[in-house]
Amino acid sequence: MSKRFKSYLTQFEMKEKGKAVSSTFQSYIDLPGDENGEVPVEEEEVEKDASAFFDNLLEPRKLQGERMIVGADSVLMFAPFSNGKQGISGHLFITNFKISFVTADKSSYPDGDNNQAPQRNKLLNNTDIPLTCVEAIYQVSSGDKRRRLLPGMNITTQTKYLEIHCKDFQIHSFGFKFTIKENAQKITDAIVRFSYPGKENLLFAFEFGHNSHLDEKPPPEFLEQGDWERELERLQCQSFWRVCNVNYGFHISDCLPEYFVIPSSLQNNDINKAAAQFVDNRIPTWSYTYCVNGASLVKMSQLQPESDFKNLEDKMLSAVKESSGNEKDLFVLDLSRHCPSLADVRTSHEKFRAFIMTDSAKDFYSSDSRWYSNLENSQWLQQVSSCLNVSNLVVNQMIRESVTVVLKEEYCCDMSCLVSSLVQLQLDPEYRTQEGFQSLVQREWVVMGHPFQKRLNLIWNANSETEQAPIFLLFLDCVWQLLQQFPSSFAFTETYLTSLWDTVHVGIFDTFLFNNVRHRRQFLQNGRRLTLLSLPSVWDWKFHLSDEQQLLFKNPLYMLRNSYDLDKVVESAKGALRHSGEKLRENCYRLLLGSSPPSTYMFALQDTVLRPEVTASLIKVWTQCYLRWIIPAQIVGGGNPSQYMQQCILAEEVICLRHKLQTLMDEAHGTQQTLGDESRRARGSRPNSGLLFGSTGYQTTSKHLSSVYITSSFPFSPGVSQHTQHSLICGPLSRYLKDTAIDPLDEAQDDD
Amino acid sequence: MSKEKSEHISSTFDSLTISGERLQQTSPSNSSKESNSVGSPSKSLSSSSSTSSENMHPHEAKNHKDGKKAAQNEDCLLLEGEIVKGKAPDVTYLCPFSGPIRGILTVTNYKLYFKSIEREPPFILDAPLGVASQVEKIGGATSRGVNSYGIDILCKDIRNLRFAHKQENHSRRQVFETIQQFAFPITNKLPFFAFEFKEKYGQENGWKLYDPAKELKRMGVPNESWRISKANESYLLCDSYPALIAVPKTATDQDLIKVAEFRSRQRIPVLSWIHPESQASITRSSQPLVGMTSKTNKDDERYIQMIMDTNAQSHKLYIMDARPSVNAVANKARGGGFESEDAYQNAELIFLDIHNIHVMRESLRKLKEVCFPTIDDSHWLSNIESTHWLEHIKIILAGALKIADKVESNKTSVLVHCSDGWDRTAQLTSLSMLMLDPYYRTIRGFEILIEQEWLSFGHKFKTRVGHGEDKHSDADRSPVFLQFVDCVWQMTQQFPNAFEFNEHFLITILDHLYSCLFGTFLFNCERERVKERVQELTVSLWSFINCQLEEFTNPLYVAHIHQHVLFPVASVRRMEVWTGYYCRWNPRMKPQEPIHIRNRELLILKLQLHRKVEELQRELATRNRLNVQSSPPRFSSAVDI
Repeated sequence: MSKRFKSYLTQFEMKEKGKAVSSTFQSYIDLPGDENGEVPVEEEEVEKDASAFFDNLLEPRKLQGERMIVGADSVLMFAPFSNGKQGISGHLFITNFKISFVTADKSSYPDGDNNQAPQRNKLLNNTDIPLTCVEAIYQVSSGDKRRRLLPGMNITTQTKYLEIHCKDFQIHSFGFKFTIKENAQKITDAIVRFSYPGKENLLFAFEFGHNSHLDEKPPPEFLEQGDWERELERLQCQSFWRVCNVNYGFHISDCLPEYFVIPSSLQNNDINKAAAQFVDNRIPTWSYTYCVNGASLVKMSQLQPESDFKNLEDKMLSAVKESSGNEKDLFVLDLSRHCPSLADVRTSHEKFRAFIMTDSAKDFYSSDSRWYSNLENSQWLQQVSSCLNVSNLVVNQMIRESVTVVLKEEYCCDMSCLVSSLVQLQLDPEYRTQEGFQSLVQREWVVMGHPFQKRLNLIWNANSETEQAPIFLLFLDCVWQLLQQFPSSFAFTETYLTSLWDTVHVGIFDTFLFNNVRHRRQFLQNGRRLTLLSLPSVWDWKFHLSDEQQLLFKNPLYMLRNSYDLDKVVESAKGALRHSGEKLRENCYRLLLGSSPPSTYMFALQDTVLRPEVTASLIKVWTQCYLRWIIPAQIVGGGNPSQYMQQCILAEEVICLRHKLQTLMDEAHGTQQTLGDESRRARGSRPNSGLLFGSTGYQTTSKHLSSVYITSSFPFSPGVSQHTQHSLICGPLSRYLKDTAIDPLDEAQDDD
Repeated sequence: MSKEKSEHISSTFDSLTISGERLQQTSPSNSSKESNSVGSPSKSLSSSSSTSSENMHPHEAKNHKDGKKAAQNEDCLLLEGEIVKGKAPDVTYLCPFSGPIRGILTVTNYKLYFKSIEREPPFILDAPLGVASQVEKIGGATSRGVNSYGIDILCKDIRNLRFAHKQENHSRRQVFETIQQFAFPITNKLPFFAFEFKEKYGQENGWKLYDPAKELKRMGVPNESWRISKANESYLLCDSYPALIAVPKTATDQDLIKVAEFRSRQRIPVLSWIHPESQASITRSSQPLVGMTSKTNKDDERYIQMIMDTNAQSHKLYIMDARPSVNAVANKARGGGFESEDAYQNAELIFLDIHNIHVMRESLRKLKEVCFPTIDDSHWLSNIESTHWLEHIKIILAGALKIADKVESNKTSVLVHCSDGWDRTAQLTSLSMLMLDPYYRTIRGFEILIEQEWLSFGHKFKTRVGHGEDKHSDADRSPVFLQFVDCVWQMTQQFPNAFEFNEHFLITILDHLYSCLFGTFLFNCERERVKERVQELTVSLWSFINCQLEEFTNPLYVAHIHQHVLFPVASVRRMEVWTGYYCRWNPRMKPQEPIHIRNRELLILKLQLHRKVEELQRELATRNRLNVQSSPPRFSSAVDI
């Protein structure tokens, strides 16, 4: 029914792409391909020209410990959604860290000089693919035969092009039409071999090391007793729960950390006795206490199937009950019955990826009408919804019934991490800050032993896929749903969550590489080449992301809602309303009157407990994460980022005006003398909002702002090139600043 | 704004929250919030709160003072001209979300009003009778079982209302007949309530908003290639067209008459929009009367060439036929058809594959089943897909996108038509104009767009909506305009800063499409409206809206960012079901922390501060001028921080 439209849009895309792509190379890419895979004689000339273009040797930037494995020149990197018709020529390299495409063709290179598209990552160019990010590799050989390549396969057919499907939902396609056959073969082999390391010592983390130089105090790692104690203290439950060191040296459990929290009434001895009865020795451990009523959240694994010691479980649970501070029975929730299983998540994710990821405009449009049923068939959103539902159930038990909840799961390392983290996010505003969220992930996932290495399938063997399941992504998706439903309750943005998911796949951070604390320690101490150097932590955002990128993590709505100063302004605004006469009933005040007095309710802190709706019609697709690389779905000049930018502008204006007001107040109350240099100087700077258009950000980013165009994929998909007609239909980011009350220098303008 | 007036506005918020249904115990999480729901911003700002309430406006305040009158009517506040026509003291409203509620049902010549008697705070439901599409009795004398005897009202705004009566009260008949009578005034030979409603909205007169000559002037018409023709001044050239039309300068009125013979219902190609730079134009018409014998018409061909010639930038014209090509071919059998590319030199014909009114009506019927009253969580997504509603929305948007792209990127003029040129054509021209011209993305601009492309060019609102007629199965009814508004909503979702109006504005327009409170959407064309003296005898919806623009303003609107074209993504991946409209009766659908409220708070805060800074600056300046007479600074508490 929309056949004509399809072709039109394809054309439309072509047109745009065409402008972005260097004409030098386009001319021969479009020549009819030869099915035998041999370069015809006429083309050799062209090929020579192409090689001559790269007279200077190009190499990817290398990190410490990074080694070149093999490279091939005259490789084509296809433009996304170009159907293999457009692209640029360059060198494709593989190192022990990444697959890297380098070209001298700056005019069309997404990071080229002409176009200051933001370099997202300090470690990686936009055309680099960390090996740990590779999900699947497809080979397309002559006759358009497509097959998935796995290690150990004998790759004899010649590769026409390779499609690399990544865990961040991006697809990269490389063509070898002009590559020397032998080189193409070599690099294909190497990509397959190194993307699926069979042993830990093939991970780049084995070779990599860096000198830790954290400027700020590192966030709590929960590897030390003190971190746990501080958390207990914060939640005012030290008298019921204690930090135990019974697992020091990992004596009772390989999966648990050396320190964790148990009911105070339990002795180390009790633990020693009981531990063996639980799968993976995961005895009931404390996660959280709702300090209003003392109801707590506890996780444990199932009893060993052959265990005869049901009484030991009972003993543990009665100790838990004792610590919950009331007489109510525990609520033991068997997550295997309420949550999707590993296999469910894996299958669902596979189906989900299969239809959201495409690199063909034709597929995009032909599958468009089935989008909703595909979504439903994948069950991904239903799983998100059921996780939130379980979490709501637990929250209700804890706060309404004041009941302590025990989450029970066979291995207690997947859904229990997910549910307990969600519950804590819903209950405690502390975890809705970036620092709090990070400490939550660190504690519940990293330290309590969610097996990241297995779930992300970092070490490949024939059976490893059965252990694979993106539980952490499911969690991030649930958090994103909370963010949607409670837009001013989180200090961070969806960009933060998406960036976090991407960071999981960089492969050099020690945070998400291991299965548990013991595993991590063994690897760091004995498993690596450079044991003296450390691996960076994911939470060290400065290490890998530029400052501008980090500014995008801040949520302006949260900032204003939680600003104490603001309360005063709002309060005084209310006073102003009450006492004001006729003149206040002008434009802006009519807004207030017209909608009942919102100042009373403005940014009202509703109940601090979040209870998301889980009905299917309110569970949405996290388009930023999943659709950001899908060019035909990109909204140029719109999407969530444009809303975000305007919120940042408004928030910054509020800050500016408040500052200006304060300055004027000082001036009004002060005498002429005090209006000296000092106050002028003080007036010069407004408080730093940490937002993109903030006073500190503004100077450093103004150049950046005038070259960045907003699309719905901002900041992930490389910015829209200025040569495309996009510049006609939307302005650069800096245009948002036009006509605002934001004054970059912040000098009061009415000095005279 | 006078002091008195502002008080009125603030006091209307009780009524704004009435909006259909006010459910007190919704989900447990909402309970605390709901309890003080009256006048809380989350309620009053909530976009789904528009219905039915609006109208009570300042009268309510009046009635507050006039305590006697209010008491008489159990708080059912009446509009000027509104009269209570019937009342049933013991009726049960069968709420699909919170179960049966006992209360009093009042029926007036405008609305029905139900107030619970047992709940505190009371449950209030209030709906204009105009939304009723069908009123039915359920259960008979032999009915057994609780609440099985009563009245069912199927509504045009995606809900059904069911009231159970007690047989022994004998209240049903009177209520039923009153509802029948006033819900379907045309069937009962009564005037619309709009003709009795006499509210003044300050200085605002919405009827003055749209001035066709002024709009053409805005686009530079008349100019060297276009002229304004008065050939249709008495609606003799084409009875469904406006009096004023813009045509190529080279075409004489005599030419127009000849062309009219070859166009279905004489709807000749006339100007809708001109690109300010390239002079590429959007023109609209009905299908040519080609017929089975593939007739051609030299006058029509010459006229199309004239349209093409008005644009010096291009020697081509696209004719966008909104229909699927099969339908266009089928129309030949009925004397219609489409332009042959052989006959029309330099014209390229493109079919946009938009289905007809019957397909759309069926699609909406299915959508209502999926959205109301309850949602099947496990099949929501596939149910949505099976209605094809979003698919239709996508295809309409894609068509408009194509028109906008041809005009903008190719600088080529486009002629748009479907069969009669008043349904799909109106959707396409107005949507492409919305994409091309930021003017129409303002509140007044959008109102003008509706006045021009829908009302003046004769979209048959009366027939498509079925105003006042008891003919629910009329095959001429179709949600064409609703679909357009849905497309606009999709665009506002994709471009959160590009539109001056908010969701509440769109919902308010849709609510009054059915309410028959304002004269705006009554009747089928300009000729009929003139004949019925609508402008003299009724109030315009735009008067109501424009006297309280803040209610309808998008806080994130930034005019300077989107000065140019918007190209929305026409893909189901970017389409969403407009739950704020289709599922708004379901209390679970209300966002707990609606982002538009947060955004609005942000804007208000900024405006407040801005205001205070200015005040203080002025005060300081004054003081400085008074040459520091060193009196202690005096400030009202308003500026005290």
